[in-house]
Amino acid sequence: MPAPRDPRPYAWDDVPDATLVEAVASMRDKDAFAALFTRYAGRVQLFLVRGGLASAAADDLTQDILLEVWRRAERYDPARASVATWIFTIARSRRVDALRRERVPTPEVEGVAPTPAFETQIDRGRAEGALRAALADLPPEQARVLDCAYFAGQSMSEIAEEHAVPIGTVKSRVRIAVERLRAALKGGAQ
Amino acid sequence: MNEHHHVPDDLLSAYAAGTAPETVALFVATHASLCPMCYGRISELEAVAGGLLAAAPALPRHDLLAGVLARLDAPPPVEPARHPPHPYLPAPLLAYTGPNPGWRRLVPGVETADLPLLHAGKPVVLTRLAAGTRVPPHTHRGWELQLVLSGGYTADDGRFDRGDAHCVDDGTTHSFRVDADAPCVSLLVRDARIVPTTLFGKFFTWLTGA
Repeated sequence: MPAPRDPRPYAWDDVPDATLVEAVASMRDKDAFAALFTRYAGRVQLFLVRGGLASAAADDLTQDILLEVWRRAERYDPARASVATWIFTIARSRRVDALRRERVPTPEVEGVAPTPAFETQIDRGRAEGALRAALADLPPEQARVLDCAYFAGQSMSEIAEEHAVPIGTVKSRVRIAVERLRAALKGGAQ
Repeated sequence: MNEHHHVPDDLLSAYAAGTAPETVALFVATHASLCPMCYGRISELEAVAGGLLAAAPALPRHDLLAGVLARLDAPPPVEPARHPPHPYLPAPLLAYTGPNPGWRRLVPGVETADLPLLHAGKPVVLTRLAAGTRVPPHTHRGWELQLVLSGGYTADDGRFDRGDAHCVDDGTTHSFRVDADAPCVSLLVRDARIVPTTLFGKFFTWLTGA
């Protein structure tokens, strides 16, 4: 028989993503997991559908991906990435596996640890906020191609065809958008 | 000091977006394991994608939650054992080759090893060239990616040491010479779309067993 869980006196809505993941990692907290699920399952499902999965298959895979979030929570490193980015990397691997039966090998820096992207949780929160604001501020034509490239996983030539613009234009729009967001991330982290 | 040779930005982007074929993704991940700069760059691109995920206009899927909650306490699948660190094979590559690559001698001074975990016929191979080997001028059909894992060589277009990515475009002609004091081990990935017509192309086809 599972032990009854403590009722939580506070609203999960205000708890940062990273705190939820830490609660899952250290206490196997199912309420914290359910809160994460509420935030991300729909987004992960959309990520899969935009990548080309049928809706029912995407529902199943979304469940597998969120289960992986539960199982791998101890390995989440808040100095390296935001929770959204971490979940993105898990979903990316599973989508590549579902679409192409391929794996996505991940880099592991040897010896000297890579410089952490964020020194503190406050830095990470600022960077996430700056990224969110910069995304909302992108000109529509840049936002569209960025979304096609990094969310839908379309190639530059597919995007060019779909939007009837030259491939060079697509590449430069994506590049300019990425540079703006990078600058926001770096500026926001300081 | 030598300049470092990095992976071009479009390959880092394709890796981060998940559009790179597995051979190229392995090349990028192996290089980034030896190159903090490209590692950082990939992290930034992934952060952009994470930002898009966080901002994606999607409704919560409470209907999917019960199915997952029911599986939380199930035993997780057994993960493949990790190999201990290897003297020259970085972790992502080691997972494909194992600690003892199956070297086959092709001609004196040239050995290759397959990556058993990749499906057969993929245009990727490990090569080991003996110390002092000269590779004569040859023209590339399609792009080719070479990552130095141990030893080094000097080519027309620069000096290449451990961690350096040598990315050659379609139509490039070059030659290189392996250092006299040590053999040179590289990871070689080739454009899968190109049917080889040149001598070296055939040589590579032979290397990969395709």
